[in-house]
Amino acid sequence: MENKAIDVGVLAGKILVESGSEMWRVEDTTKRIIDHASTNNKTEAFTSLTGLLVNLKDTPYTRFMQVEKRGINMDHINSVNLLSRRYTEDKITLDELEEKLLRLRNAKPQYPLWLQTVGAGFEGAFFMFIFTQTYNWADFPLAFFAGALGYLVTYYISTRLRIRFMSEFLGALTVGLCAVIGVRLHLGDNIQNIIIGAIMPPLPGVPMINAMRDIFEGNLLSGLERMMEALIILSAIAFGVGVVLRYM
Amino acid sequence: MSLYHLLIQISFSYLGTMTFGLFINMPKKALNASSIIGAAGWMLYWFMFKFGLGSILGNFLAAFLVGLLGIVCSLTKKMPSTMFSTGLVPLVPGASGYQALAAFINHQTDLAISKTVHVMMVAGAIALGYVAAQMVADIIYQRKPKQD
Repeated sequence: MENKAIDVGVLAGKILVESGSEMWRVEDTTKRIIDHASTNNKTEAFTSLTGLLVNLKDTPYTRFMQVEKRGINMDHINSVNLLSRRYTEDKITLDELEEKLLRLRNAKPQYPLWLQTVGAGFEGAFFMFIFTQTYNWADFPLAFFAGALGYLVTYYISTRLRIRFMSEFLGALTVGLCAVIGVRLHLGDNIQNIIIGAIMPPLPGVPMINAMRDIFEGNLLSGLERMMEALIILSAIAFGVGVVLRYM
Repeated sequence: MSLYHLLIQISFSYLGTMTFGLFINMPKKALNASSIIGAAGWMLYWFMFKFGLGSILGNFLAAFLVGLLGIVCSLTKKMPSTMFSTGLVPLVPGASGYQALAAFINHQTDLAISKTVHVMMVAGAIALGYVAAQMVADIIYQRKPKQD
């Protein structure tokens, strides 16, 4: 029973880390699931962005699970939270919890790719108005197009290439090229405004906030890991835009 | 500052936060609430900026408001408060960041460094505001530090 619970608990924690949750939630969920199954509540957890180590004190049960890919997936965070709460309220059994978690891991995103792309495009166009405080509708179509194409490039490269940070660099490069070429073809007015808006989708805003929250919660290791990852992504984006601004 | 500008700011900060939710797989139940929080935070910042109260204080208070509203929503909807942290997205200092980058490329290093420091201060103010809201919630709900 305890052996099984520790497996399921670490699996729930792993899904949470993969979905970009804060570390205290990962530890809390893992401990709640395992503590609920064992009578002597003595779970110890060591969490970082690249792996979870959980140990049940005074028993031979220890688990380590590696985390290989990370992203942001709010629906998974919400679902794992819901499932673990239903389990600790004894509404579902441990086996059902494991089955549901495994099914959740393979679940497709609830919005199809075309809707995500359209969303990224509109985000770029809307935030162009917000950030630059200009009200120039002539730039709207080009900002939409650049944002959507930049998101598609980032998405495809990140799913096909094993090297990290390259997808963000090439996405930013695409956004910059779209803006410059579009303005040269008189499809828009202001290169600067279009880039400021359309670069929004790949920016690591949520990881930055999670990093700060981790640090303030005392999870220094994962906080610094996250901060470092976000800063490298930021540099990759700055490089991509910078190349376009410098040489075009 | 006209009614037209006000309407654009409210609707675009709302829609921008909502479209951001689309590609981070936001649960449908939280999409509307997180967008309203995003618009509320941005409008607070916008008014403070328009009335000349400065961008650091504006960002701090806007992030504080986003954090508080996020906690209220997570309690009423019984969802993790992470869902509602997307309300901070309109506050991202995108324009200043771009100006810093452009100044670096044009070899205006002094301007670039001062812009970069400004971006870092704004980012710090946002993070501090958001964490301060969590702190207030912890005090209200008496969540004590972990003890062995």
